[in-house]
Amino acid sequence: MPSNRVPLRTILSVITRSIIAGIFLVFLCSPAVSLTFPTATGYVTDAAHLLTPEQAAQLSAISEELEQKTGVQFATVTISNLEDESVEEYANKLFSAWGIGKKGKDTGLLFLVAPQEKKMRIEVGYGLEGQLTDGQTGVIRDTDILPYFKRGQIREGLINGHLALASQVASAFQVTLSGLPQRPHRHPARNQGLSALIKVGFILIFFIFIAGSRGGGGGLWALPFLFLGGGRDDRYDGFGGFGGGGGFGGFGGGSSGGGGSSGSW
Amino acid sequence: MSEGPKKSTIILASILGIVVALGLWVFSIRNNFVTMEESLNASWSQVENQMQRRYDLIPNLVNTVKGYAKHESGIFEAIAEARARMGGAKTPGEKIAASQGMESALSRLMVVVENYPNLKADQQFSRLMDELAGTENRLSVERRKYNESVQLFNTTLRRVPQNMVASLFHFQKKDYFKVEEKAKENPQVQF
Repeated sequence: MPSNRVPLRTILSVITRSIIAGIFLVFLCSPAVSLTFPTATGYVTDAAHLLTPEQAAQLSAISEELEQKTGVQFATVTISNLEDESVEEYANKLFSAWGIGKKGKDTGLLFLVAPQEKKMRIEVGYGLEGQLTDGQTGVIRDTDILPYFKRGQIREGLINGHLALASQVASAFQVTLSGLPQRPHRHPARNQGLSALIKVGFILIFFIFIAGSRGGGGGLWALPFLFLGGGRDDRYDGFGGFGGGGGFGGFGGGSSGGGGSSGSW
Repeated sequence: MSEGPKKSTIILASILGIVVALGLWVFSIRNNFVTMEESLNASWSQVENQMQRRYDLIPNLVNTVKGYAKHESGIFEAIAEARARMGGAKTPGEKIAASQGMESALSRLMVVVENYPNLKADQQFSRLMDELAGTENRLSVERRKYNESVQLFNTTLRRVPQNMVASLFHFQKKDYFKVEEKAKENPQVQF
């Protein structure tokens, strides 16, 4: 009978239309991805090439130990430019795009440096806001990072900021990080008089250790380097090849809500 | 003879099937609206959390500034007034308006602060400014997420055929949390 085919056809067309509309909706509502983020290469992603591979590996090792002991995922990122976005928006979007911090717990931390725009941001994950307040990140910015950046010592500020943030988080969780000094050094010029012999000795120990264990935490033993070298260690560039830290297993889907501090220099 | 009743049973059953399918479809769309509305409410309460956070910060901030700039009574009154309006706001619309009033009062305070170098050097003041800057930034993040939820809701609401189901269950368009251009500049409390 033709009379009951008509409603059926109408229903079918309505269903078809709703399916089509649904498909359109999916496309329309997917968030507009306008920023191109660097690919995460580990806890430290140095897209602006401010660190030597060794320094990046050493900072990664600190982040790795921090995650093992506290569960906090701490990423330090340098970018070539902010793509006309504010540093706050960029940091927040990068944070959730990468998913820094464990999903559901959101204990992630991002230290972002954009040397071209002379902007930096410390972005704190939702779950870490209680342990790391805006006031504390502000102190670290003002005492451990910006003084270096303002003198043009971007690398020193980056390393010092990473160390200060890691030690702040560690002390909030009442753990100590092996190899991490009690206070990040504030006098980069002081150690310049140390003899080259000691440095060579450290290089040897460093090499032996790295050769002995390619695994987790290895780079940490090279930490004294950072302090002896005073940051002007460009000649170590040739050692490259193990950036990224051994135990980085990817970020965990965390997000942040705009906590932390921004700065410019 | 046996063909007749069999045919009518098939027709009846298929009509029944269509009605049931249509009903399920309508309810699935309705449930989708309910889910979206709930996530919208959740985003809104995040916005309110940050408004509350700022509301709680202001007495400390004002007291610190008063220590250095006692005679700037005009700005303190303006802030107290904005804060009282914030406290009295009930509906989302009132809260948004009160929040904008608060932002303009705070940006006036920042202008006043510029004249007091000793205040700017005060450690406690710096930390409070960090907290305020962080709160403003959190508020703008939550505002963005809320507006994204509103956009999803409103877009779905206007689409065929969801719009029919929406009007059947009286779902209504939601308002965006718009920011005045002047207020937009304010979250950058930098020194």
